[in-house]
Amino acid sequence: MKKILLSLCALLLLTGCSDAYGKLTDGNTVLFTIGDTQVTKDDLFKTMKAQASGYAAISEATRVILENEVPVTPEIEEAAKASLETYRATYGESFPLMLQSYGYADEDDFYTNSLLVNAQLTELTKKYVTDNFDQLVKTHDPKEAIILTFATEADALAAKADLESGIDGITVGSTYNSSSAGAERIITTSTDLDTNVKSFIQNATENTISDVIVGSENETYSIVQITEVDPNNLKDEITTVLANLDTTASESDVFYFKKYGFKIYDKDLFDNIQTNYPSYILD
Amino acid sequence: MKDMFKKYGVVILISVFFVGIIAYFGYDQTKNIVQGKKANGEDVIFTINNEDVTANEFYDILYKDLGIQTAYTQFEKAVVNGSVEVTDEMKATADEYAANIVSSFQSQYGATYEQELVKILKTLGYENASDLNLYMLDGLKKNTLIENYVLENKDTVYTPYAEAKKPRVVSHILIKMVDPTNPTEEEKAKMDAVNAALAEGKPFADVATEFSEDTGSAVQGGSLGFMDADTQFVPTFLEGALALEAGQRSEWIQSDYGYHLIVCDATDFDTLATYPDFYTQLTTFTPEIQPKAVWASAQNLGLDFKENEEFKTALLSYMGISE
Repeated sequence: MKKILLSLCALLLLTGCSDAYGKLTDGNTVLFTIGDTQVTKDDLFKTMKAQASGYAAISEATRVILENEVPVTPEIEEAAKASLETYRATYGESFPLMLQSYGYADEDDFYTNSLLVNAQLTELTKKYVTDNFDQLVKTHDPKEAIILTFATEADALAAKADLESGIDGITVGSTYNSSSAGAERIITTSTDLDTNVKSFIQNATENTISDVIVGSENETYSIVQITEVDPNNLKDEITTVLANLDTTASESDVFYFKKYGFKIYDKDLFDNIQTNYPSYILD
Repeated sequence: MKDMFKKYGVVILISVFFVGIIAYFGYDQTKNIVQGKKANGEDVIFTINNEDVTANEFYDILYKDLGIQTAYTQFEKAVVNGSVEVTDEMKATADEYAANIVSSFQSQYGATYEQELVKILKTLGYENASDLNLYMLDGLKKNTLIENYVLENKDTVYTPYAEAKKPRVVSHILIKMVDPTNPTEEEKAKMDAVNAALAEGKPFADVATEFSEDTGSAVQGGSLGFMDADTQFVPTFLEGALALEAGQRSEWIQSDYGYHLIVCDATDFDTLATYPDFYTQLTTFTPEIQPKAVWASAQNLGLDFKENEEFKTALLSYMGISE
């Protein structure tokens, strides 16, 4: 009976546990005094954590992930250097000032800590898409299609006849004044299209040319030529398109943060990330 | 065993029930708690790839980008608190500002306004919602510190600004017009009435109160207060106002609103220094006034960097101070 009572008390104590706040071992170190006021390392730590702990932790964790998943290659360096040239051309003489306003010491700092990291992150997202291709294809249902849109049904019908006779989409589009270019493109569930056109594409199971599709909201007449329904025949093109979707980069981040066991042990950091970057709360 | 259960069965059942309740309660209370972790005796902030980032290491990471800037904020706060005495007027103004901010946060965030307010206050080096008044007071004390510095160093800080931005106090009389390029007879008659009143020797302020159709300034004798070359006035008005010497009155100046008569009331430092906007514009033109004012006051307070020369050098560099 005594043991049962002791266990109950222990459980009650457990319910009184509180959040953890990581403390410095030398937080009481005084950085400076002014009159009676002392400013310690703890004072700075508290304020810096409140300002940017989430950003700093995510950046540091990302650095570790990139080191392991995407080492810097000559191709990545080339991509980063190309970005740098673009910035130089865009900003001209004001480039150094622009860098300083964003907190970079110089071009080298910007290249190393921003452009190179961004180039690595682009490769990381591509890697995520490649490694999870089958699952992402199920979600995004990519197909290759030519979409031609016309102001009149007569133009749409004439375009359909030309496509069926083997003339390419760009030529047909130009001949009948299509508002879209007529090149083959990868369409996914995220692509911004007229509802009826999108529905035709998503329901397509084989390469085919549609009948005239009347626009759902305005008077347009579209012809769609499905040129590839099997994503495995367009892996590279589909990987590029999926990697550039807004949602993919953040899905990729969460995937790798989970893979590398990102775990938070400080309540201030937890709150900062929950407020500013909630997708990184993985528990 | 059977005998024990026969004798104590109800007690055992009740105990098991309570253990279950407490266990579930314990789980429910702790599931959202952030658990701590130690590595070699140090608190861990987060782990990635089984690597622990301790509090000490995280401090160094944060310090790289934010350290000196945060140190300066704390430095400034300590100097301001040690240098400027709080007046009743400051307290009342701080309370008013704080009440306005609370009201604004309540409108925006509703029941969670205090939580949102605390998040922002913590980034500024404060702890609780009740520190909002303190933050406002510290801001007013800082303004006083800067004003005192400007008054004491007027020769070095004021002249370049005055030459570049031509600060002054101005008043005007406005006659509104539907089409200023083609005044109606009625509109012209109003301008004539102003001219006649001024010719009689009536003070400009009285004529403005009587005739000016800019109702906001008319009640103040036409006064628009402080302005300089960066004030957002329509171009013709701005040009006309900046061209005047103290005491001069312009000819009628056309703008999109109608016609204005402008008087330059003052360009002297002592008058300008009574306007809060003067200090705002001066410190915008010369941002280094603020850290210089703080550093100058710090010298009188017993400053000690604990022989940390590296930290002191970095802080002074951030402040733009060379010793």
